[in-house]
Amino acid sequence: MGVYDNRENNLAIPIDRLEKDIQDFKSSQKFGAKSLKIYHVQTVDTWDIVGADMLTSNPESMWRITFTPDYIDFYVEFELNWQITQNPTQFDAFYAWDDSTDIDSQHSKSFIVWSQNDFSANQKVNLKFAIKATSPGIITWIRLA
Amino acid sequence: MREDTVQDRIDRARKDVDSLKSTQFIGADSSKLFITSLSASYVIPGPSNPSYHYPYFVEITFTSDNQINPFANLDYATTTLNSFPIDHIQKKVSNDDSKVTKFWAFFINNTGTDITVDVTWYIMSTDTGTIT
Repeated sequence: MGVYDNRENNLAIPIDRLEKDIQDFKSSQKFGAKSLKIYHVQTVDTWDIVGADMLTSNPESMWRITFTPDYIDFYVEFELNWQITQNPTQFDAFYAWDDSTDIDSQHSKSFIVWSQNDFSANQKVNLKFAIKATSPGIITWIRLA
Repeated sequence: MREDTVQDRIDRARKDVDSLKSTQFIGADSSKLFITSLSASYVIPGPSNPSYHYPYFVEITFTSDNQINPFANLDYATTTLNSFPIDHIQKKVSNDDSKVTKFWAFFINNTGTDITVDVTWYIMSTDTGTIT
């Protein structure tokens, strides 16, 4: 056995390990249950519309909920809970859709929540919002109508 | 056929590493999404006053096998779609760091009579799981 044979034998073990690591890497799933980190962010407390914010003269109510991620190029899914505490059959369901104002933005993503009070009296509404996203971030919201 | 030399193996490993370095791991080339389905039948009551959007809904729960906070979207197929549509689907607020995603599917029956509707729910998600 010559000098070069010894050198090849010494190299064989780390190369074996390298090849095994590469095979493991090539065969693993890079997107999905084992590797995708998804963050869940929600409003801290369910908030109420009471007093001056009660749904009075304008039967339509609309909110914009904006998610601002810590990192750009993100993907989000929007979640919504709502509860009517009075006359639930007189109130429309709550609808949510993508807000067009930042639909192509890398820095924020907004959603519109809409509903309609079919009844003549004020209603008390509880709403709660959440976001699943590929980035951590914060949720803010404003009342549009 | 000659056996691989150490140089052959190094060359092959280098080629694999270069290939992996140039691969896009998030995106169209590598995304792995799963579809889970469940068929169900519902009797949707016809309200006495159909002028209101009677809030009849069913809750669909998806529980992932492994992933926490999985992305999950609900879709559906129904043989009565044209005559009796599902009005809309809402995703409910999940608990933080949970495998459970819940949806509400709203039916609007303005006919004044009960209707039976057969639905197959489809969940497309980033993990396998079960629908209830």
